[in-house]
Amino acid sequence: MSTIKLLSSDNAELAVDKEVAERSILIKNMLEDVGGDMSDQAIPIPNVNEAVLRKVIEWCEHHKSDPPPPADEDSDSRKKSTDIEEWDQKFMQVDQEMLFEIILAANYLDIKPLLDVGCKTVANMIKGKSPEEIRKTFNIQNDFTPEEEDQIRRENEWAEE
Amino acid sequence: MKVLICGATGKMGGGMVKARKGGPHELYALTRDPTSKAAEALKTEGIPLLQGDFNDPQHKSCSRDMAKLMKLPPELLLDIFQHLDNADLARCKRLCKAANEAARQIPLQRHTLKIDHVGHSVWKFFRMLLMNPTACDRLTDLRIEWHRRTEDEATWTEKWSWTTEERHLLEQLKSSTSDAKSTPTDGKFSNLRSSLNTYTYSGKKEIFKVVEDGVNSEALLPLILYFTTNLEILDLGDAQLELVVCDYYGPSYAKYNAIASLLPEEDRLNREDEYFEDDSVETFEKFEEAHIPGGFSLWFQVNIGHPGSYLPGLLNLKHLKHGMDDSVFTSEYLHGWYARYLAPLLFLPHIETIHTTRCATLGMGTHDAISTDLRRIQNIPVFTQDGGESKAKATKSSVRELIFDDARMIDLDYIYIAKVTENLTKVIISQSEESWLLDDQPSIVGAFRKNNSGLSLDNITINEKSGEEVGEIEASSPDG
Repeated sequence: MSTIKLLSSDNAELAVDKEVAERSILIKNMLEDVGGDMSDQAIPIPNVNEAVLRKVIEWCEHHKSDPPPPADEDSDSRKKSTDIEEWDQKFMQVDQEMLFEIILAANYLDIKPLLDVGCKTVANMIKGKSPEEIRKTFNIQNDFTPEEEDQIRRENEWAEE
Repeated sequence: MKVLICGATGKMGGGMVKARKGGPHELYALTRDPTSKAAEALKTEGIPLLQGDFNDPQHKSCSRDMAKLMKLPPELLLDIFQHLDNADLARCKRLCKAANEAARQIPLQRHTLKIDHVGHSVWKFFRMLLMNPTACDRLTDLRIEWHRRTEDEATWTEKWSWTTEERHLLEQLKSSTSDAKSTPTDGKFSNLRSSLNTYTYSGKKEIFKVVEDGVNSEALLPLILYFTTNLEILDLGDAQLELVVCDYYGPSYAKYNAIASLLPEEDRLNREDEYFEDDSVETFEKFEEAHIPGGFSLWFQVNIGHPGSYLPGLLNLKHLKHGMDDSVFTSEYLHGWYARYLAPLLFLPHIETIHTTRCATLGMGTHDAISTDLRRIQNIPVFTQDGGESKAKATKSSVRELIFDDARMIDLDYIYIAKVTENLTKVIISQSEESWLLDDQPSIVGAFRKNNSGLSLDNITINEKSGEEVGEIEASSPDG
């Protein structure tokens, strides 16, 4: 099996199986474009640092033989679901800093299923919480005036039981 | 070196201050409350105080920079929000301006209205529509749950009251929908104008009075359907027709008590123990009559409209489910929701499936048989948008599937319905009451098959028997 090298933003060189790296559509397309052998030259991933890149590779390694996602990818029921398989749940047990870095990296590297797991993980952190609790969880600053806040609260009250 | 000691007013921090004081480093103390006793003590010792709280995101100076969520590119924030349900999204709209903006981009696609639920959610939902009339533009799926008041006090939903500002919006909605020609085209509800232009049904007029009263939230359903022009699925569940779901016959202590809870204080007390005076019974009955359309009907049903003039929310409807809760009727006589309201629904321009439960006619030859209503509807001239009269009248229904559960119509009704269909590929009629079994089933099969070339004998079922088993007779035309 052929191996390729990836170069993180902080100049760490990581060797990865080509098959694993190709979970990233960005890398896959890049390799196809180059056509030839990339084993002697590291592919720069300028947006992702070593720690995050290792984490992403770990995920790709585990999911390297996943079947492609079903065709009705955008079906609403799939979107609304926040079910995450057990291994991924454990994988995502990281601090928020890392969680959002993984999401950004998955987006940049075009790894849809990983992006999906990341977004679901964040969605699960939001679910069922009051606005104040969500603000605390993510350190969000409330920039509404009291009048605006009251208006928006009334406008959205219908969704509460 | 400058050293900031966190929790300097506490045990550990305090000890640290003591240990480090007089050392080579310049000490600072972080405290939540610089006026506290312990903080004052530090100040007198010459330690400069800095105010801050790790739990307080307002104080950026001491919070770790982890507000990463709001720093995501907007499209990723949307990816996250897409996994949330309506309630969670509504909370996200309240977080901050940026979250509000992102959450608003996720269209409301499905919603369940809980009629008369103690939480007033239908009233609140409609209030949201008054404030934000385009919020339901992408709603495709609307379901109804019935939570009417019962004898149980816990279900006695209080009256809803509108603020002055909301009454003003209601007034605006009323005027911009009552007479399209005489009202200005600008204003908050101008986006409703084109779809409501053709909706001239008379039933809608008194509905605003009931909505203003805040007692029966079912009255909001037709008004909500003003705003849902892309609705495809409407599931009315098992409708509870009355304000209070208790034993229907005779004056009922339980029922009147529930109604009394809605009356002004002085009208409430006009009773002795478990017995109501005649005049208070009259008060209660008048009160109920003032809030329901009467005659075993829903505000939805009397506002459906007719071909050329339907409620806007029904114009793109494909799938309709409509049942009725009859658990409160003790009579052996079978009630149901009236087939006269099924008649206009059959002619909805895009209707594909209609699933009814307990749809009823009272008997052959009476005004409640469906034939009169079908004929009336078919003869209504359809007006075109520009005011001209179109010659085309509704003659056939586009419906493909008809399901009648716990069916309560007579044989002839089904034959009349068959005559206005042509696209059916599936018909199921099931009756639960033996005494009402249809006796001319082969004629029903024959009538449906004659009008619907795509309907095979396998795909018509009457009381669990296929058309094959029932047999078919080509009915002589019931019109003679």
